[in-house]
Amino acid sequence: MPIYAPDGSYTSQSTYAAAYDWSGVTNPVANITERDDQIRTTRLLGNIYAEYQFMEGLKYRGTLGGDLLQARRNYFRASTMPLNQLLPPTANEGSVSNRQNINWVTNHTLTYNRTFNQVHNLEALLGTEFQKNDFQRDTTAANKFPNDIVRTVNYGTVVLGQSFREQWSLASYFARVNYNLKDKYLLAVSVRRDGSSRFGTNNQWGTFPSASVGWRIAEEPFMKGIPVLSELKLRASYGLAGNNAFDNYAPIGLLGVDNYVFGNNLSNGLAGRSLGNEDLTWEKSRQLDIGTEVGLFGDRIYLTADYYRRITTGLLFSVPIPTLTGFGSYIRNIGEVSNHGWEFSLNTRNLTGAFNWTTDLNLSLNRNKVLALGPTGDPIRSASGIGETNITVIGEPLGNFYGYVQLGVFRDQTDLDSYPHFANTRPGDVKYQDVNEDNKIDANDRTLIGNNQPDFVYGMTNTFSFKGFDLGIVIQGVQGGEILNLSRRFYENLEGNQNQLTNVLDRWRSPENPGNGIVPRANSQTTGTNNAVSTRWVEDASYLRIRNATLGYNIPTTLASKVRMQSARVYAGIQNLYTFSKYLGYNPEVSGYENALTAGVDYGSYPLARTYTIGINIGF
Amino acid sequence: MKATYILLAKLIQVHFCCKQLIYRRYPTFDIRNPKSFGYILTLIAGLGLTTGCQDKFLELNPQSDASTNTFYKTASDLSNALSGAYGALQLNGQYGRYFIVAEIPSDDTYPSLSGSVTDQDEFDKFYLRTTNPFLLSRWNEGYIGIYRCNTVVDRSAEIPMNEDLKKRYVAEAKFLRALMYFNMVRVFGDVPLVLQETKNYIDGEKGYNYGRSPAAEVYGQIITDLTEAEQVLPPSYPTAETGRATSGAAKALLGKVYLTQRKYPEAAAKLKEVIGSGVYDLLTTYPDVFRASNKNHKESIFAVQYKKGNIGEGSPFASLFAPENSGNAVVPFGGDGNNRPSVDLEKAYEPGDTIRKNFSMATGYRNTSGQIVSYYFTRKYSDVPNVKYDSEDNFPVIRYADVLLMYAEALNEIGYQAGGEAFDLLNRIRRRVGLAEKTAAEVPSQLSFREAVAQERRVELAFEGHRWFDLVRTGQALPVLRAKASQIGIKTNLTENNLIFPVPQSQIDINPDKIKQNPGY
Repeated sequence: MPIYAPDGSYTSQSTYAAAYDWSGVTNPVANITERDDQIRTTRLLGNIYAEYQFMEGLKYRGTLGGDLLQARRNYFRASTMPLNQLLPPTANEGSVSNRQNINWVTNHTLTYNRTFNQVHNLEALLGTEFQKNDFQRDTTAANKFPNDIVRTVNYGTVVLGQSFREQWSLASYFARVNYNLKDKYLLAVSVRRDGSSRFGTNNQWGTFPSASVGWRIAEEPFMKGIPVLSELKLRASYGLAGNNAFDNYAPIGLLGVDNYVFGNNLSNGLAGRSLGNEDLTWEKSRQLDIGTEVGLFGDRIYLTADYYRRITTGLLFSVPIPTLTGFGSYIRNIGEVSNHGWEFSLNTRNLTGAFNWTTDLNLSLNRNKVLALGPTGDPIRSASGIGETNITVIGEPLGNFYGYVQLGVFRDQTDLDSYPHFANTRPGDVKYQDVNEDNKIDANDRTLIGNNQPDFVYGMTNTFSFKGFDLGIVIQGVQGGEILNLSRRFYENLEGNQNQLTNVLDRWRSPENPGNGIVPRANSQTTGTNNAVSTRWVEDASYLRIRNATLGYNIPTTLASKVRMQSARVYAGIQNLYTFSKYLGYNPEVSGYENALTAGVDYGSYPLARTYTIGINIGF
Repeated sequence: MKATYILLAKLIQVHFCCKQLIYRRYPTFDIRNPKSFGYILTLIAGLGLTTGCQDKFLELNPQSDASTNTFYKTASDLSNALSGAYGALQLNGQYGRYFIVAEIPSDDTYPSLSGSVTDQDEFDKFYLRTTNPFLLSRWNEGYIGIYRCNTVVDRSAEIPMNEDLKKRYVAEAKFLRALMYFNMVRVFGDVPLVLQETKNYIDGEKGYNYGRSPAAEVYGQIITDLTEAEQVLPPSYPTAETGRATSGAAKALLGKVYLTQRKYPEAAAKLKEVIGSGVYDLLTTYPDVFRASNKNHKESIFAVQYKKGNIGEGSPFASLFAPENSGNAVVPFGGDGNNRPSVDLEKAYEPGDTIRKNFSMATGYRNTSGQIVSYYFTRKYSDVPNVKYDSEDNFPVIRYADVLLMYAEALNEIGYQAGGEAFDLLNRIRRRVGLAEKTAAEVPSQLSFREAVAQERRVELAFEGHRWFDLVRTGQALPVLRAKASQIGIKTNLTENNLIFPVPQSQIDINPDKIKQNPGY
């Protein structure tokens, strides 16, 4: 399809009459040129502090910080824009919206720092912090602008006025003591008490203590005989932590607006739209951490290894309830999840001198398991895009994909007659597994069909430098885990109404020509529930990505100083240079539904941009 | 240094609630004095430890929403809650997409064909998946409405207000609750009978205690609610309040409930009261019954109210039913081609029944290029919207013609009477649209009169959400649809099991011990 019609106007899908009333792809050039969409953001950050020393080692510090974010968006869609089924002139529309976020934080600490007898190092801290956030947004929209010249909403007919405001606050008290003996034996103990406005008035406060110990073995006299060893340290910690990253008003049952009409006049209607939970409180986790650090050859090789085990209880989840209550879910502290894993990092300075080469390697793996759910232990079913796609079950990791298992494609009528299938399944349609073996295929045959959590993730950064030139290459990868690529329900729907992935060339065509045994037959109206959530859409999430490569040159100081510069560096870099992956979608790093219970669902997420950067850094 | 601190202190003063306490106690505060150490400690403590203060700091109520905790205190609050309950009638799961459960399964209409989406086709051809999204919204939004009605009933007790008005509000809520349960029980059979407001999460958890109550028990509750409502509700309202439930609406609905239960003498008695009330009459011309400029007239007994103007109260039907891909030719902004009349329905209009047929449906339209496009579509709701899905048409729930035909049916079931009152009733409907009166010679038996009423209901009330429930109610669904199975494309051998629809899978999955599936699904 050409961009412009012979008369110079934009073309639209309507010229090629789409078979369905779906909103199709609008003219992408017109999308850019005929639509104004500007967002102007202003951010002011301010921080002041006061310090006072009462005596040797005892100090007060108070800070007050403010963060003001203001954004204004002006939007206008001109009448020259072709819409899905309509050629220009079309109805123009415009809007203006303002967002403002104000965040205040004040923090007061008393610290006491002293060394006794030259071997006992003590640092103690007592403090308090208060924080409050206030967000407001309003939008005004208009249409029926008499022309496309004046584009501010006053010129059109205002059709929408919206405003919204929400706040949260956090209050904390904390104390910490660090002690070390001869820099060899380390001990730290801390406790904090936090109160969050996000929780029910009965339960706003949580207390979180923690302690850690460390032993720098390399400092011991008996180790001094091993010159190769520059550092050897053992450390362990145990502590409680809280999480309140959640909706602002979850404890409070809210009313929603649902108006009606009496006597042909609007009548204001209100009805409960969320259930309150005054008992809502902190999500708490207790974590044990054991680690070691080893430095060799004057730290040219430096290895750290950590093992952790974290049990999180009272997770903040939206849990479903029977909808006969009038509500689908409410938020509660529920269940128990364990995470344990290893983290390794190895930093090496391979070459030093004129030519310098360092390598940083890291690898981590995490294993996640649900230990308990709500009072009945029932699974949590979660939706993303098209109804239930994920399920969280005790004994399994969070958020498994949930759907049918595809066995293949029914080759012919004999095959169809020999295995349970949906009522309208025909030869060439998908053969799903009768998981519960009741000789029929229905919703009860859905099962766990994958999970987004990887086996391990890794990264490597190599840095080279030579005579003012430097080159950095960052590689990052994920091994294992799966993606539920739901977008393929469209890209492989086989209904002849839009472009398809080339996969469909291997579809079933006849019993003699059955394709690859995975892709079903083409039909303008899909039968056999072929496009349901199933293993057909589950793909390997592994990838290896060259995340960044940057080459830079530092102009010699002697040269720079001549033009009164202290330093100057020019550089060129590429972000997201290349990704090695078998994934059929755009980006194996899926982020469409950012929720622990629905991770890894791709239902039309954006591709990742490759960014080329050239720059210069000047210091005066 | 001091200046900085004072500025800091001032800012704290502006922002936090406890500062006055500190400065009131230490007016001569001087940071350079080491004795101020004590003051500082007080400052830290004072910023938070004072209980009243920190509670206030953390007690943030929603700014842009009202809370259920602080609501339901006044007569106006109760009135808002009641309007919210009426508002539920417009939800897609209730009357917003009523045709999907009330007409698509019948021989009257079929859905638009939209790609892989079989969601409506499953109702038409009887291969319903238990995960069908329309089924789920029918269930969920039915219960959202019931929750709102229960809220009005439960909360009214504590509200000091005019007792008569309170009674009326409660009666309106009970009418709505009965209507909503009637639609639930007709679609799903046995359904959980929830009669209490879900106030908080503890009540929410109690949702697990509900199993499906037998349909008879649900009908019992519907009759109780309607009987109470008909006694309390006024026969009519001042102009500014039209659209509210009246005693006539409660009686008419009660008549329909009795008829559904085949309690013919009770049905006849209630319907006779509606007719005898003198409030209602047939309008002279059929199209006037549906004109957007002529709502809540003498023939309208209860209708879902809509109002255009982009205020969220517009009627969606004109846009939903206009042909797909018709541009602005039929309705501005195009149509969705939902609920398309079948050829079978077209043929059901007897020769000469042009008024009703041409008003209710069309078999084609003239496109913007002037060509005639052949396309069957519903056009009973035809107010021109200024924004898509935003028309003025009300959706009739019960109108007087329905009452007359129900009464005729009840009388005939009690006993056929050649040329009797039932004939008069039937013929009143026919006379209005210029059709010949039915005589005892043409309709000589109870059976043939039953068929004559069914036929008249089909064409008189087409696209008003009656056909499927009429077929089921009269025991005709299986014979009629079996005879047309291949014509409709029905995908299964219809049995009694197909007459009620499955409970949404998610609602069984969440409480499998208490909520069991209907047989056959």
